[in-house]
Amino acid sequence: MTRTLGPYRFFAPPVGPQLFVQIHAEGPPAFDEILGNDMTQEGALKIGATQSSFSFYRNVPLLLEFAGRQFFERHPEYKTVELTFGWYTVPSRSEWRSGERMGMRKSLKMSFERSD
Amino acid sequence: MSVDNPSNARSPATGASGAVLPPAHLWARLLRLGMGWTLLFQALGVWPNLKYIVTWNAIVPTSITEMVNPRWFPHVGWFAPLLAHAGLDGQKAFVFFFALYTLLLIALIANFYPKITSLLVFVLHLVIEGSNDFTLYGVDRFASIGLFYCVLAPGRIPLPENSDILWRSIAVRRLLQFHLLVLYWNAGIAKSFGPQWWHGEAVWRAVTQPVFRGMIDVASLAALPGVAVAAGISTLVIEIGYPFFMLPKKPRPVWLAAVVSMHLGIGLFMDMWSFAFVMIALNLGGFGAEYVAELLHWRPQMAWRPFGRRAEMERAVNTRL
Repeated sequence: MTRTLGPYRFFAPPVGPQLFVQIHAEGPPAFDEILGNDMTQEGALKIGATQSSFSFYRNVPLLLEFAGRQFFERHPEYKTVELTFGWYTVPSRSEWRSGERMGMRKSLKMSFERSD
Repeated sequence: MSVDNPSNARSPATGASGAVLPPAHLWARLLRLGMGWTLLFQALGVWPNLKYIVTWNAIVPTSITEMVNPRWFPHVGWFAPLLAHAGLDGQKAFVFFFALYTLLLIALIANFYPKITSLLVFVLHLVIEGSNDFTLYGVDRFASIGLFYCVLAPGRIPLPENSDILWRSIAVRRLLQFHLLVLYWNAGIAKSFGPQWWHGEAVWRAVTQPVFRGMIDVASLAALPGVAVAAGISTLVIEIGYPFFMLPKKPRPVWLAAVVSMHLGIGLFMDMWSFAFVMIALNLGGFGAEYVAELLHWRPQMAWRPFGRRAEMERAVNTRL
């Protein structure tokens, strides 16, 4: 979340955009979820920290590979999964007042197939 | 025996029966209570998703984190061969460590052998961190700092015959205070270089992120731009002003209240309660024991196990150090 843009400073990291990993698996039933959304707040914050660590070290494909492996462990009923990495775009306050809303900018999409 | 005790000098009352307990006797207990409750709250928040956050089934399995981290840093893998003999291998070993950590936090709250418990919690916290480096965020770093001071702080009530314990208590508290002064001042100065904090963009961005399932109405915040600007600038003022208004006694209660309010705001509007309470615990331990004692009018008669034995408390209060 905070390590993505700008220089990292331990005591005052700049407030950067929040990252996400979007999960999509063909069904039935179709599976659509944002990684960490089904977790407790503490769990979601820790998932956010994991995402920003990989983004910071510029190793997003590896993050998606790990997330794909975990998805198949959690949901053995699916054979393929499509994972998309990106960040939320937050409009400025003036943009918000003129009707703009939060968006999702996608930067990398990868598909994985169950190997067993 | 006479010991010049600056901590006692500013206590609300000493030497009379029923007097409020002096802060030198309370700060360590307040810090341990605060850290204990906060980290227990955090651990309970992790438990439901433990398997998928911080174990062998995590996004980054602990085995990989342990390979990436320096070998000298403590981690669960160190104890794996030992635990395997007890049938605790792989994921079970990690769950065992996390369960032990959670139980020891309860012991820390109950003030059960506080020095040993603090040391064990601190070591376990580091071991768990060492196996889950990728999931750590601000609260975990500050928790390590808080637990470090819990280890250093005396476990017993400083009595007249233990002037060395009393002095250690004061010295460790001074060190914590100095640490907080540097920390807040540095944070404030670093933030002040970012224009985000001056025009309210940092506050706006922080409270509108989806992960911070806060309680603020984004539309109202957008309609009242001055609120975000005021919140950003007041954060800078509170943090940069911290050493100048926390060290002198007169403005300290006002500044402490401002700092606590700022952290409560982080909890309320960003839903980051564990971070908020770790910081509040550090501040109350470092600077707030006298005000908490006064506010609650803690007396020996009110002593219960987490604050020490009543007889010890009475001796501590009724003996002029």
